[in-house]
Amino acid sequence: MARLTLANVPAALEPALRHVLEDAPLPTLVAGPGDAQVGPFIELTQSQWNEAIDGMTGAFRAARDAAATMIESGEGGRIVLLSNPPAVRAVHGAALAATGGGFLTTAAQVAAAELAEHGITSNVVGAGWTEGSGFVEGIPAGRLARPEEIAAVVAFLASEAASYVNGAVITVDGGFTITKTAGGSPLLR
Amino acid sequence: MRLQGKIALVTGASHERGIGRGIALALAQAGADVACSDIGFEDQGEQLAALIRDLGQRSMFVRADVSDRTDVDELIEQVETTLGPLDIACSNAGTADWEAFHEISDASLEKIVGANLTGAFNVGQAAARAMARSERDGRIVFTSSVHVQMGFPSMAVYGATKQGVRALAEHMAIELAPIGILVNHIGPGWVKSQLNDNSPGLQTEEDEAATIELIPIPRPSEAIDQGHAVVYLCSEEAGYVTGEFLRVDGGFVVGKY
Ligand SMILES: NC(=O)c1ccc[n+]([C@@H]2O[C@H](COP(=O)([O-])OP(=O)(O)OC[C@H]3O[C@@H](n4cnc5c(N)ncnc54)[C@H](O)[C@@H]3O)[C@@H](O)[C@H]2O)c1
Repeated sequence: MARLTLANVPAALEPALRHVLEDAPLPTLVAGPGDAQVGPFIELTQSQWNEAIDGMTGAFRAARDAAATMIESGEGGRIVLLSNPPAVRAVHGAALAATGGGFLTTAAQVAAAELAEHGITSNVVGAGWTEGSGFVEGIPAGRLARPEEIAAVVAFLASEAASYVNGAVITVDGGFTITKTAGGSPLLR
Repeated sequence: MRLQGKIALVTGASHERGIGRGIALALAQAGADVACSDIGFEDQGEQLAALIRDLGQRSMFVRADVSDRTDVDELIEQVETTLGPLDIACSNAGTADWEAFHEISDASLEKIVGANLTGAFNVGQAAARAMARSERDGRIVFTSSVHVQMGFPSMAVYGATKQGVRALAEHMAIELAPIGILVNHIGPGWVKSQLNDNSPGLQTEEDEAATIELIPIPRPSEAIDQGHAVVYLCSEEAGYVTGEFLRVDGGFVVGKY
């Protein structure tokens, strides 16, 4: 397989991911739930829901296919699935993103348990909001994430150094999900 | 009785060994009128509705596929027309397969996501809209699973859908609390339902004994154990409980070691 497969990763992260994973030591797959729409739960439309489902199942299929190829090659590999802050702490208006992040979190963890014997690790990065997404209120760091800050953690998981890290969720959100001091619905403003 | 005068809907309720039946019967025993729905096992569903009527509560059976929004909207309309405005919705329908992660078929992925996750969205949102329309307080209870707290090899899609339901329920909880709708989910441990008939780890008496070995309360859960938990979540006593996960697993997730 191609050394690096990116599926459904946010456009803002893609260049940074490509940059750090260019020389990844093992076949590497990074996939996310896609850019889910924001809106009050009760007003979400069928097409918004279906789009979110397509995003998360698309990432799931990409991970499944990558696993099959990695097993076949006998080389092992690295799977990193992306989640997001609302999957851990609810945020008004973010039901779709959270559902996708939760879905991929458990998908990655079950994959971790199953694929370890093939030399494949599977982990989750809870990617904080970057420019153009989310909000700053309530983030202890006082700012959004820079794409390279998220890419660095993905790169660690893809590296030899992370060979014993499996089924982990590493949150890179400036501390948002440990405190959640935001009031109201910043996403819905 | 705790739920006197309340009108409830339970999906995935038909099968005589199913959790849905335990939920429906417990709600009826607590005084609620209960509409039962399922995609199949219609005879057993009708029989359940008759059992509930024998308990002195109103009941009905409606066939519906929860993954189909039109079905779900029609289901809720039928329930409200026949029984009255909905107070309680239990989104319990679900399905599972056992497949190696790298061999999961698209058909299985689609079926499980459709029933467990899109089904939860459809029932949860249609119920919330109905409750909001009639300006009634409401309770929504999802049947998620212990899978939201631990992974089970060969059940990646199933576990993923249940984690999705957990995240969805938490969002519904924070967004719907201001209009009086409380949203929680229960995490059944092992119930000997037909869903588990194909479970590769539960085929023989030895398998079952080995599973019981893992459970601090050494027995499978009865469907009614789950029903009692749902009754609590739908009662006045749970009026300050929302976004919660109530594990009813005999201590399985906590473990024996
Ligand atoms: N049995 C267990 O050990 C266990 C443990 C944890 C969670 N659960 C969950 O409990 C719920 C009930 O399952 P159960 O164990 O009682 O098994 P069950 O098979 O008896 O009940 C599930 C019911 O859902 C129905 N169903 C499936 N797809 C449907 C669809 N698209 N639309 C409408 N109905 C549909 C089935 O016909 C069935 O009657 C499920 O959500 C399941 O995931 C079960």
